[in-house]
Amino acid sequence: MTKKLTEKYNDACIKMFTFLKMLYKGDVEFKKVIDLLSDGKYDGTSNTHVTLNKYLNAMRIFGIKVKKIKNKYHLFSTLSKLNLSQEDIKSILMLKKANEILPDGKVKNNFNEFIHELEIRYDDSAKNLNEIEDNTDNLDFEFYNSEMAEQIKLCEKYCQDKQKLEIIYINPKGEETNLICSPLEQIYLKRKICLKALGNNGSRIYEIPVENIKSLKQLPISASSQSIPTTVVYKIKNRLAKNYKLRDWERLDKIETDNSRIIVNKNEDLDLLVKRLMRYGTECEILSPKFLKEEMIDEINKTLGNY
Amino acid sequence: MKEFSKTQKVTYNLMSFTAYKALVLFSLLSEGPKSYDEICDYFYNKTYLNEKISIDTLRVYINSLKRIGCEVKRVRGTDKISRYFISASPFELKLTVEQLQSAVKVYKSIVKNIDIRDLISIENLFEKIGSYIDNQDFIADIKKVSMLKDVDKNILNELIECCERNEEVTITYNSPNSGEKQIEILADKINIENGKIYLYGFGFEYMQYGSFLLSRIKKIDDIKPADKIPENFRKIKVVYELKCNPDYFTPEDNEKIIKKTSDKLTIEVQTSNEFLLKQRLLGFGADCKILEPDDFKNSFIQLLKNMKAGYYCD
Repeated sequence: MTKKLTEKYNDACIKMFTFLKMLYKGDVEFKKVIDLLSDGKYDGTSNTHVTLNKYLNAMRIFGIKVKKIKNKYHLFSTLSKLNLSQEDIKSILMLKKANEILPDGKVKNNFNEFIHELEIRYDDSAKNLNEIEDNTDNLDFEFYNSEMAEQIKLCEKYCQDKQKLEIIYINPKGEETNLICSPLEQIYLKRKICLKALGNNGSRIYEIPVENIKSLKQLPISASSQSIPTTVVYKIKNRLAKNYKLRDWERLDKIETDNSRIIVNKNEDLDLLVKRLMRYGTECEILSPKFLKEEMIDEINKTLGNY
Repeated sequence: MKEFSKTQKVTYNLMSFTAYKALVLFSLLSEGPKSYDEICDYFYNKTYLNEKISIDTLRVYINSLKRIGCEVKRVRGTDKISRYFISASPFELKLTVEQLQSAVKVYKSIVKNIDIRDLISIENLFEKIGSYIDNQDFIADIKKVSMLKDVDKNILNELIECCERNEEVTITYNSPNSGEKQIEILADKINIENGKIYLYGFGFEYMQYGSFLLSRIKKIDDIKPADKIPENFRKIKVVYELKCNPDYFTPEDNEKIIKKTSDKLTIEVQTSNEFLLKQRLLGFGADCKILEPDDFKNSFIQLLKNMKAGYYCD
C-alpha cells in the first residue's frame, strides 16, 4: 500500500469512493460491490458483507441515500448538492411535464437522465420543495389534470402507431366535428396541448386542443405518408411588415420594393391561419393557394353580410 | 442501524469511521480552502467524530481523494498558512451533450406557451446548470430558442415589478415609425403574444391603451407611483354579439357578458384602443356582429370593405 510517504493512501477510503463512483454511473449489482470490496476474492466466508454494511451506514449517516432494490444498489442522493431555489424546482417540474408529452425516443430518455442527474443532487430543502410543488396545481399547464394526462398518453401512442384516427372534437366555434385524419405529433399552442393531424385529403393540417377531443378511435388503415400539407403564401405590409416575427414553420420569401414582405407558411392549421390573418386587417393579403384566398374573401363577405 | 435506533450512539461496529471521515473531508474541502487547523476544528466539533486529525492522516486522506480522481489543490494566503481545497471531482454534475440537447428541445417545445415569469425562472435554472458544467454551447443553444434573446433581462424584471405596482414609467422606445423617443406609460401587464414579449399599458402620448414590444424598449428613464388612470383617457364602450358555444368562450379582462343563450353571447367591452379591439373582433370573422356604437361599427365595416378591396385591386 505504501510506495513513498507522500503517496500513502487509505484503502477503505478508495473502495468506498469507488463504490460511489459506480453508483453515479447507474445501478450496481450486489455481486459487483462484493467483488470490489474483496478485491475479487470473496469466497462466501469472509466478512466483506459486514464491511459493505459499515460503508453503507457511513454514507447514510453522512446523508447519502443508497437503497438496495432487487439485489441492486440505487443512488437516491449524492455527495455534491446543487443549490436550487423554489423557482428552480418549479421550473424542473414544468420541464418534466413538458417532456411527458414528447414521443418516446432518444430525446425523452436523455431528458429523463438529465433530470435524474439533477434530482440525485437535491439537498433536503430542494427535496421538500419538490414534494410541496409536486402536490400543487398552480402551474399553468392544463395537462396537470389527471383525466387529460390519460388522453395525452393515448394521443402520444396513436402518433407513434401511424394509423388513421377518427376524432370527434369541439371546433373553435364550439360545434361537435367528426374528422378522419393521420395523427402527426402533439404540440403546445397558446398554453394548450394540441394534437396535430393531417386531414383525410392529405393537405389540411388540424391543431386540435386535446381538451376539446370528445372521442378517439384508431382505424385499421395506415396513416398517410405521402401527403404534403398545403403551402400558403401571403403578403404583409406597413407596420405589420416592420414588426412581424416569423413562426418556426414560416420563411421570408422576399422583400418587395415597398418594403412589404412575402411569407411562405407550411404546416399550420388553415382555419386558425385564416383567423390569424383576418386579424391583420388591410395589412395582410393571401396570395396562394387560390382556395384559401377565396376562403378569406368569403369570410370577409360573410362578416360584411352581418351589417 | 437497529443498534443506533436503540442507543443513538454510533460505534465502530455500526459504521466505517474511515469512510465517514473521508466523506466529511471531501465535503469540507469542496466548500473552499481550509487550513489544517480549520479542518481539525471541524472534525473535533463534528457529531460522531469529536476528535482531531493528525497532519499525516490528513495527507493520507488527501492522497486517497486524489487517487479517486479529485483535484486537491493547496493555496497559501497572505497569512502564509497553507489551505487545501477540491477544485474538481468525479462527483460533480456532468451532463452529456445528448442530455443537454434534450433539455434544449424540451424547452423549445414550451417556450412560446408559458407565462413570462416561468420563462425567466426556467432560463435562470439553465444558467445555474450552465455554471455547474463545463459546456459553453449549452447556454448558447438555450439562447437560440429563447424569447428573451433580444430582451434586456434587467429592463424586463423592472417592468414586471412596475406592472405589479401599476406604476407610471417613462421608457426610451425605438418606434418602427418614428425612431427612438420617450414614451410615458401607466404599466399594466407583460404578455407574450405570437412569440413576442409586450408591455401593455395606458400610453400618455395618444391617451389610449397600447402594447409596446419589449425588444424595442431601450431603457427605463423614470419610474413614479401612479394613483389611477387619468380621467381624460379616451375610452369607448362597444357591444357585440358572438355566435359560439358559451362553454368554450373566455372573456378578456375588459369584457362583460351581458346576455347568454345556448349558441350566442352578447358582450360589452370597454377599451381605449380601437385598433386592438378591431383586431380581436376580426379574428371572430362572421361569427361576430358589432351592435353599438354606430361610429365604431361603421369604421369596422369600412375596414372590412378595404380588406375586400385589397383582394380585387391587383
